[in-house]
Amino acid sequence: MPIILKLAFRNIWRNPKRSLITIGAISIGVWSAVTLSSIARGLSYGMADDAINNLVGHVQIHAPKYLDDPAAEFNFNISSSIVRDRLSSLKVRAVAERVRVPAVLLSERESVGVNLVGIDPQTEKSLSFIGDGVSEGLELMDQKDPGIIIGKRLKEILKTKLGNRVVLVTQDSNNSIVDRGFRIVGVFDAKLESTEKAFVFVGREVAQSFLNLEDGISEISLKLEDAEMVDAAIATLKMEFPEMEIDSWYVLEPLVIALRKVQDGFLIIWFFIVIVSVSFGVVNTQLMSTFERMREFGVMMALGLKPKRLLSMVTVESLMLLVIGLSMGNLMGAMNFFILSDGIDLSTFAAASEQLGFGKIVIPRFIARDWIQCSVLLVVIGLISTLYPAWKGSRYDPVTSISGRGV
Amino acid sequence: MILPQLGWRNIWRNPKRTILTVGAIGFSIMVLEFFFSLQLKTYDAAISASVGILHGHIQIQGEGYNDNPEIRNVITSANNLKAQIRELSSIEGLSMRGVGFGLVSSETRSYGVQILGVEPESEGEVSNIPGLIKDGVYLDNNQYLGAVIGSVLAKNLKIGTGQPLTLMSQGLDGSLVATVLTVIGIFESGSTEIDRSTVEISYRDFDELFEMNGGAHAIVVRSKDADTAQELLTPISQIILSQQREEKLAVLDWQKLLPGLKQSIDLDMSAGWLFYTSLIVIVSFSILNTFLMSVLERGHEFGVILSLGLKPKFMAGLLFLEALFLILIGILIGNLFGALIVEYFGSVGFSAPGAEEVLKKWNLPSRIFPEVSLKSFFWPSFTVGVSAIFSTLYPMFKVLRLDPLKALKGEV
Amino acid sequence: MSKLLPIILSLSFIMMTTVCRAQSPQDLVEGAVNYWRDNSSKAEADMVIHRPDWERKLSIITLTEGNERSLVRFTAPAKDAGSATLSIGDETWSFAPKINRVIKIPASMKAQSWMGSDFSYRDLTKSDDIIDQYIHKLVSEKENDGHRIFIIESTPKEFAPVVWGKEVLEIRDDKIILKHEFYDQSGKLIKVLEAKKITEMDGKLYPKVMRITKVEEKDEWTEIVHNSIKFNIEISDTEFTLSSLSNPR
Repeated sequence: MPIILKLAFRNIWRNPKRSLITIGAISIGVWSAVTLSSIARGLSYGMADDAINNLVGHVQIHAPKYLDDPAAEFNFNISSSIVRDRLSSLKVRAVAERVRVPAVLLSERESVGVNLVGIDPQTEKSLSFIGDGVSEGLELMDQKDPGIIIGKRLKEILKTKLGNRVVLVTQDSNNSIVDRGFRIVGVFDAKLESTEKAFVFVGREVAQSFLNLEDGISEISLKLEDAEMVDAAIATLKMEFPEMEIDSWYVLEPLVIALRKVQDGFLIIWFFIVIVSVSFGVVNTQLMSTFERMREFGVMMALGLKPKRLLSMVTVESLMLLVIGLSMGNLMGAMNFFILSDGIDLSTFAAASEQLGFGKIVIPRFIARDWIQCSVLLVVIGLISTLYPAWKGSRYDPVTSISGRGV
Repeated sequence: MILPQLGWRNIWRNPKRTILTVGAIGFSIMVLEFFFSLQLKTYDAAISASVGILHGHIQIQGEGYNDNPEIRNVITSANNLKAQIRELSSIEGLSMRGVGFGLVSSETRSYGVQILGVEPESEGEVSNIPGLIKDGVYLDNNQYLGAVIGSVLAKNLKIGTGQPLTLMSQGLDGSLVATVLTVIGIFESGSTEIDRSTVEISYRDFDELFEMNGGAHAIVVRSKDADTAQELLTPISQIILSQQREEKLAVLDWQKLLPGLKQSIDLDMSAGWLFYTSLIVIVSFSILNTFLMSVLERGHEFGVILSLGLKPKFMAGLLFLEALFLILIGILIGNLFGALIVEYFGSVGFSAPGAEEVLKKWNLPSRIFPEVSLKSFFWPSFTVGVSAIFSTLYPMFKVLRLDPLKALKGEV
Repeated sequence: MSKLLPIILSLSFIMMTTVCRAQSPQDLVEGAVNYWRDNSSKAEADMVIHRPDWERKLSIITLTEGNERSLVRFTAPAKDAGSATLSIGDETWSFAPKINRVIKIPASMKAQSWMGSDFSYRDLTKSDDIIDQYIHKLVSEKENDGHRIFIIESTPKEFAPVVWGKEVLEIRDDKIILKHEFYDQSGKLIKVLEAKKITEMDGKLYPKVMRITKVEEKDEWTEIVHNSIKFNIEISDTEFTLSSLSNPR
């Protein structure tokens, strides 16, 4: 190992208390920045995941008029296997066919407007939240299951319960009124109450016959193994099915992406602030340490050490402090990242997180880019700020330094 | 009292360190003040944006109407009430509305909607919608049976300006309301919910159609901001009481009208404090670092003074004074620069990088103009100051336990 | 021969009583509904909507044919006169003379109240559901006023578009439905439709007044008072069309 490194390292530990406190300050700075950013990312990425899982998926296919007016008459006939086939070059996790129309759900006492979704329960397991199962009762067995699954909040609003019958009234593919009784076989719990109020699920074939659709469906939703390939998937699908309306999740949920962009900007600014604050202390330390060794530097320079070399040595000392502090801070951050990996409970703010679209539990998210930005910023700014003490140290006049009479 | 002068001279013995310490304190205060002011202004902007679309800062309604909107729950002879409330200072806008629910149909489709009977001349004082007409014009009292509808509703009904819109509903007395309105304007409020389900007609038409007898369902009030609105609640209630009406009225602030908004703000506030606290802790550590090192460094000096007979507690007192000076100067500088930076962005406006176009698309305020306020300046100064003082405790403690002999030798 | 006659007589007597006895609950209900609706009818009636703090009276003329088609036209008060509601099968249209428009009631509005009454648009089209969509059981009989009254419990079939847990009908031996109760799926009584003032109208006994009451609300009900009614009249098909809805003759 080059002499300069050995020397720098030993110098740091000549005053262990001081160095430890400085390293401590750096670690705390880094640790707080890393932890807070992972929580903030947990929020925004969690929102994205929720949106994707909330039936949106990565990509959706509809008949052209459907999105403006989601009626049963705007149905189409493309099977999920064809879609899968066309996307065979990309890894597709799941493709689901759905029937989706607005309807009114009636109980003995109340009536509520809902979205009726006819699903293939097996496919939805790898695609959306309804695949996670129910909190009460049973899931739908297959697309022929005659039962209905509703959200917990909806059950409360309708003043009904598991096992009761409710009536769905809606318009079929000919815009004629159709109605039918369905028994509530399961009740689901979703992250947001609004989801629990919005969707009711029945078997796809049941919905198709109820709405006189034959083989028609309202939408295809699919999820890729790799979220980055969404644009490629869209391009392929648009070529294969030019007459269909094909959209990615970020077009369908633009607010989520907006939040993420805002966060990107904010986090960089925050890292900068934290690092500058930490730097005040580091510069202080280094100034002191060079001042103390004034005589020693004087001797070294009198013995022939070039000022530039001295500069490098002090700089390397700073670098070491920074790197050790950085590593410790990152280590602490990683540790509590694991501790918190089950998520932080936001239930005191239940209504607010509901409003903003977060779930009740925030799971911190480690985003490599943030971590790299923070570390790089620390080293760069740290080095720049300690340049001054180092430079100062290299300008000591050997004679006056040795005499100890200061700079 | 020689201590203060001594203390003051001592801090300037090592100007670089003094500057760095003062800098750390000042910088953090400046940052906190800037972010805090920004945050408070952002909340204000968010509240104004939300209440500004339709709800207003305050609404006066019949008691129980907010939870259970029955058409019969009416405010009678509202004119007197309106005039008196308008007299209050800090009222920036006031308008009256009738609210009904019914079915609107175009040639091809029908939808259930909320029908608002608004006063065209004053609705713009409390709602942004009159200014957000993207096609056609807003209502005025020279037209009969004109209607302004949300853009999503227009799309769903496949209807445009100049075309007829049939309305069917139920009046105050239960009678059938049926009429053909003409769409004279289409608005885009920024809220999909509102754009999908709202139809506005003039109050005069509403009164006639729904047999309201001059009654209204809501008097909407706009004030400068959320805080001013809070102050208005009592005076308004008093005016209502003084009128000795038969019906019971309720005064609702934006928190009751938009309950989720208040809690979103609280949530964001707590998140903010998490960040701020972390910064304060970091700065305190920096300061602790500095003070501790200064103690370590001046060991010899302390040793001399102590062996000359000065009691340790005076030593500690001196140190404390030095720290206090540093902190006070830091607070001063921090507030100075804080004020400068807030004033600067207050006139130029601040927007998070990358967020501007996105927020604009959603009709959310994209530039925030922070303001110097007591709240946003006191708390950062106070908390940083207090934690800085706490940081001096350990070094002072060390000084109290100093052994003069050891100190003389440089071992602390 | 003389020996056979008593046997034949007694056999036929037994058969008759068996046949009479063998009227299933389903038949009883079907019979009652058909009695009430008849093949067709034209009635002049008043509808009174009553709430704790107000009351409203509307005058109507009702045309019905079979169980699938009905047309209700309002004649008073002036503000509502000329309005009409047409129901064919599950579809409902409303006409407002002031605007000369016919509007089809979308699914989303079907559960809303019809003209402010305690009937929903859906209730207007569901008159004969009671027969086929339920399983009927005779639970008891009682005597009143010289009449035998059958108490029938009707439970909706599995996929019936009915929200109720069960309905209980009191059907008199002369086919008049005296009471129709609606229970939720926990067994609580929610609504009651009662026949009052049974008098002779157009040659048969008929409830002159029918009132539907919401049990869980205080003092809320809607009442239909038939002033006159004619049964089994000739109604041309064109009466139940959209053009007739907007152009009364």
